[in-house]
Amino acid sequence: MADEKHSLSWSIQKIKEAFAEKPITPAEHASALIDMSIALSVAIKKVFLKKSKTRFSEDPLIAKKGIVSFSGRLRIDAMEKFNQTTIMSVVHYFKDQAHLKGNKPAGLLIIYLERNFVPEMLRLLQYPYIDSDDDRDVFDGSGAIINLIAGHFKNELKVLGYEDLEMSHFQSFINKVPQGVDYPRGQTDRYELSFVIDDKKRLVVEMVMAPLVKKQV
Amino acid sequence: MKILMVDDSALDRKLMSRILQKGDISQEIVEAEDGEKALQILAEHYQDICVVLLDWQMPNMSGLEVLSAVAKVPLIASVPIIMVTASGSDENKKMARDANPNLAGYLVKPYKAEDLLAAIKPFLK
Repeated sequence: MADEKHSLSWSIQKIKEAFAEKPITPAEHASALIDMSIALSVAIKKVFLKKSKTRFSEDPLIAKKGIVSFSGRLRIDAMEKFNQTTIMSVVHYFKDQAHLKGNKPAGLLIIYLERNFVPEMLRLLQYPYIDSDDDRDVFDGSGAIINLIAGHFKNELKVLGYEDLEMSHFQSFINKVPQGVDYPRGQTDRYELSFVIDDKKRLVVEMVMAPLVKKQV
Repeated sequence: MKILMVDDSALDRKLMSRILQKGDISQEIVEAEDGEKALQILAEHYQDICVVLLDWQMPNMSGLEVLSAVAKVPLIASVPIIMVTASGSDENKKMARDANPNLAGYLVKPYKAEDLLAAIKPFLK
């Protein structure tokens, strides 16, 4: 009887171990980030194709860069993206509602747009006209664009087999964010995707993602 | 009767208004920029609202929280709500339906003008 109990608890332990989340190694995460950056590119192309049939001049340039943090927050500076006033919008991803409420991000996207190009970008997506001199209009416009991209990226991550994520609402800024933004703890790399429309760099998107768990099949 | 439009993006509200206008929808449009404001409007004017267009990701109170809150108040639970969101996964749709089984529709941004008009027309009074 005692042997049977021992055997049963041993089997249960083995089953639990088999289904337990295995830690993701740095090499696996590095490989996953490449897949995610490609998925992000696909998501962005889908957004623009779905609504506007816009074709990007070429595939995006994807670059891996180090994260610059200050006081535990991700520093964002637009000056290296365009030589003009730049609008940035940020959306965070969370593992679930509890992490969203506790502000523990699993990832984030940042888009960078030349301020003067925001109205044209919106026109491509069939949005109403906005005034590029009006801060509220450009913040809102850039926010509407990142919202579309972030929603589609979330779907592409699911195609890769990841659990569904929660999304924050957007925040928009001009040129820099001195206080930085939250980012997943422990991450050191960000992926930058630059898109060219009509032979000019028009859209830059950055992605920082923590290791994500894939769905159990 | 009025249409309640709830979205933190003024531009998205403007886009919806323009589509409704071009689609000859004559109902007055009431706007709210977050879930809290939407609930306040619903509580005070539910008899005048024929349909709600509700975004998901918003500050203060998300669309999902609004759906859940509305479902718990019998007086306003029958007001048709259509989610209009960039989050289009099956899980999101299920979460929305679980939060409010009376959910009247689910549109994924970017949507086509005709899809928005088709979604709201059955509820116009």
